[in-house]
Amino acid sequence: MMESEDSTETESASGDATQNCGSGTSSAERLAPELVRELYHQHAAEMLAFLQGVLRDGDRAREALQNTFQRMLESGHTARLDSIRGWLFRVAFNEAMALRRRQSARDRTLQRFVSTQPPTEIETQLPETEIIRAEDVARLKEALKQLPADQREVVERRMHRDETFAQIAADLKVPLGTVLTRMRLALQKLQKTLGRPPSKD
Amino acid sequence: MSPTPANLTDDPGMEADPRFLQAVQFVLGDLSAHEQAAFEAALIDDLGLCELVAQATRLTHGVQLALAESDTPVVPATPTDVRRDRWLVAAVATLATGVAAGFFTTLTAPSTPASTQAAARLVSLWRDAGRIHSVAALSETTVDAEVRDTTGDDRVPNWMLAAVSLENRPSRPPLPGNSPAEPWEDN
Repeated sequence: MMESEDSTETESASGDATQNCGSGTSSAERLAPELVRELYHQHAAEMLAFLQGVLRDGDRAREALQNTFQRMLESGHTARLDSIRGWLFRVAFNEAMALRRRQSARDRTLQRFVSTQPPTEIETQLPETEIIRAEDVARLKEALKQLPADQREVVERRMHRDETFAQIAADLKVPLGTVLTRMRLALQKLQKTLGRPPSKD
Repeated sequence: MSPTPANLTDDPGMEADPRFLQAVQFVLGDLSAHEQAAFEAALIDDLGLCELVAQATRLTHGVQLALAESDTPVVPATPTDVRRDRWLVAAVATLATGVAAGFFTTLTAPSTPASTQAAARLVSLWRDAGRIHSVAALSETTVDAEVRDTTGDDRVPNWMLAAVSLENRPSRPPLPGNSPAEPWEDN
């Protein structure tokens, strides 16, 4: 059985993943560390990107990622391998929400103290993960040059200068909907440039 | 194989997931609290939406990196620099104004009566150079002019009268008991 409330949430979040699980949770039924490491190589970058999007904080996203794969090591055997990706997203989301709750409950001093605790076994074994490759950045740079000037301007002002869409619309003296349309068109093109997340497969 | 920028078109048939813009707005923190709560509630069961969030995060991060790399670094002036520059400009402007004002004053200011009189006298002496037989006369004139220039007083000082009288004194000493009173002696 799971020891903590978070673990219980993880179990329930996995939903149909329990169909194939055995009733026991002994170490003999757990996933092999080599398999966890392989799954990490395949999915960690995408999970990290997802967690960073949810938490908007790189450090906390990495912490949630470590927790997610810690869960996988402990209870990943309860999921079917063909749905392991969905299982990972759900566990990652629950870990992110749990982190956010804890973050709001603790003060920053305590949070810094917790972050200095010795790393667990899984943390020392898993390599660093980046959410985007250098070649993807280079392709995006070229794609940005190809954008129409009005679309590029909206992208640049929103993503680089951190202006709001409302500010951009007011400054350009165009309706907010026009700005959002330009952004959407630009994103469609840039999205196709991006390619798959970094992994070893 | 990843698409290249050359493949990118405005083809309306190439429609991506319409929720992608919302995912980007979620990542950028543009959604209202209510919209964010609804979006996160959808994330729990929607694997496709989770993937969109991951993709939006990668795209946002990548675009920010790309734009930062392609930017020409511009170092904004700090408030201290601005203050220093303002002081420098003010100092230079003041100095230039002072120099210009001084130059203008020199050109346009009328001569003082004393200096004009002395200059006219000098010119007159030069003009009548042939009639000047004594260097002492010129020296006296010059000294006179200098004295008047500096003091503004036309009176000859006593020390100068005394000096001139000493020069005119006879070299032979006067006879005892028959010495007239010297002009500089007070009786």
